[in-house]
Amino acid sequence: MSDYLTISDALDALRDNKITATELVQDAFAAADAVDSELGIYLARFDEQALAAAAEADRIYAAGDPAGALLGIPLGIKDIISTLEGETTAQSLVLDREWGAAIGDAVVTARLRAAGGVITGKLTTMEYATGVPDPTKPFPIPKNPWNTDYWTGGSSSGTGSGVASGAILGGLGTDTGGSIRIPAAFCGISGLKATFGRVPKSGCVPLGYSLDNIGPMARSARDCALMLNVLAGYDASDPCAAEQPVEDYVAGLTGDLSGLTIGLDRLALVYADRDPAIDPAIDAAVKALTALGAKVVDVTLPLWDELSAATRITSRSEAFAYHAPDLQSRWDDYFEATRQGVGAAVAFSGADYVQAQRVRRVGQKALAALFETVDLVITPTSSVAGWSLDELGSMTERFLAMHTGYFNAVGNPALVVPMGFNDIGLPLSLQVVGRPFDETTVLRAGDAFQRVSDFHLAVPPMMSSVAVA
Amino acid sequence: MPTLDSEAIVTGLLAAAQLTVSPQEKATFVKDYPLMRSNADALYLAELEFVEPAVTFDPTVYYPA
Amino acid sequence: MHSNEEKLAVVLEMSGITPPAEDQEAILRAFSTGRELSKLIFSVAQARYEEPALIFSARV
Repeated sequence: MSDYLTISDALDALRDNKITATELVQDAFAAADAVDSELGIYLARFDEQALAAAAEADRIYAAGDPAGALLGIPLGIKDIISTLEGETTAQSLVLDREWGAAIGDAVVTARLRAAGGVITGKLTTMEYATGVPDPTKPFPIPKNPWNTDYWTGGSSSGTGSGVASGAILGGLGTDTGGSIRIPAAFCGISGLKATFGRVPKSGCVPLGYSLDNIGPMARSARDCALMLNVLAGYDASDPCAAEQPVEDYVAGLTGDLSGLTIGLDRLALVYADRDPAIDPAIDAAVKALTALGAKVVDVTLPLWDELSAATRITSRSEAFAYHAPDLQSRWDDYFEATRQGVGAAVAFSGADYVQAQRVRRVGQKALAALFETVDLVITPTSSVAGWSLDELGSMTERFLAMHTGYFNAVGNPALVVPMGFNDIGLPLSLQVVGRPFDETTVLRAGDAFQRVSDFHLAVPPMMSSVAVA
Repeated sequence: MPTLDSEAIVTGLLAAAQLTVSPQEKATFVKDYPLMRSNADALYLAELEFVEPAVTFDPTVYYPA
Repeated sequence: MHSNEEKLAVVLEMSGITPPAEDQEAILRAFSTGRELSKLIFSVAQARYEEPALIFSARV
């Protein structure tokens, strides 16, 4: 793997002329060449365009005026987000390829490009950002670089494995019920679901209109902050985008948590078959956060079951409205898990959907009341470190084990960072949640934790023998 | 008193939605239906009687400010 | 093929509603009209890739 695991380190090296953007991108492609056929990271690579962009970045660096915040950094785009290059497929036989062609770059893609980011290709996803792999369909099966018998998690699968393997230094994922946070957790990297409306989602195939978020995935919270600086901000093309000023999220990374009160909800009873390594890892994280100046107290998140159900009902119903015509006419072209998951929305009525929105409002108020007593909430991201590809199990069980959908119901920002490993070497993950639009405090806590730990810098064993270009 | 079982309900719902599924997939829907229905039914809490939904409508959105 | 009467029985069961016999005919007419309305709104081609008019806000 490259010597530069993080965007931050790579930017320093580029500015100090220790490496060129072309070399950085070539290293990334070498890593991908070595492992992609096994890990299923990419659906499409844009080598020629990426190397041309890298060469342009090198010209800018040489001229001594490197203004772009991500200049020369190899970045991947989840293939439900539209790009100028190539097709947008949503990893499906069903999506009309003309939809993405008509859009070109989504707002987020254009922002990364304008910041000098090198778009290396389109990354694997679960079909339409939901469900699990289907071996009967002509698409790669995403595998976890930490153990290739295991799933990366989804749906931002290729982004998770791409960052963990060094095939990219950062990338875009999307999160409707956990699809940034779960692959970040399972692949041992960091990922941020920002506040709903913080990052414009136009140019992204929808899964849940009132739940979807586009966000950064990278090794570190600092890298996520760097990317969020570029991605965040209102755009009129997205009716859900918030007209909220954008802060400098990197400037907020002080490393100091003094004065912060953090509420811990272990969610110990949510899933029966909880990995025994999780609670010792949480204890160690609490100790670290306390040493950094925070006060950690026990809390109970309100309406856990109800808000988790509201996310599922809302996302299924919203997805079904989008997919109904195609499910009626092309049922077999969908992945089995996609059609069963989205099709299950037939169980819900219009009134159920409205009721779920009323529960969301009550939940928002109750959580806001909790946030009058704490500045952040932490939980384990998941009660499991992952599932083997042979035992992905039922959707219902997976939802129970993953502690992410709750925060889509209320819209608060949630960052995940690695916090250790279980007894078979799979990563464990800590979720850090803040008040709406307080990504600054969320990222500050994640970054501070990563200044005193090195889980985010761990390299999967399979990558240690991969040579750079 | 319920008069239809999950099988009948799911059959009807799939037909209403015009979805044609395999027997195995229908069996999965039938198996999952009671839990899904109970999750939705659990949201009809008494204290929500006068609560507005969290999604709101703005009639001005396409008009100049 | 399932009739509207059969579909209605299913959604009433799902909703936990048991209208008396004298209401059944009116409800069936309303349900049948409702299914036509649903077909109508799914037939609006410009809405195929459109966002809903209801917006969620993280601020409460």
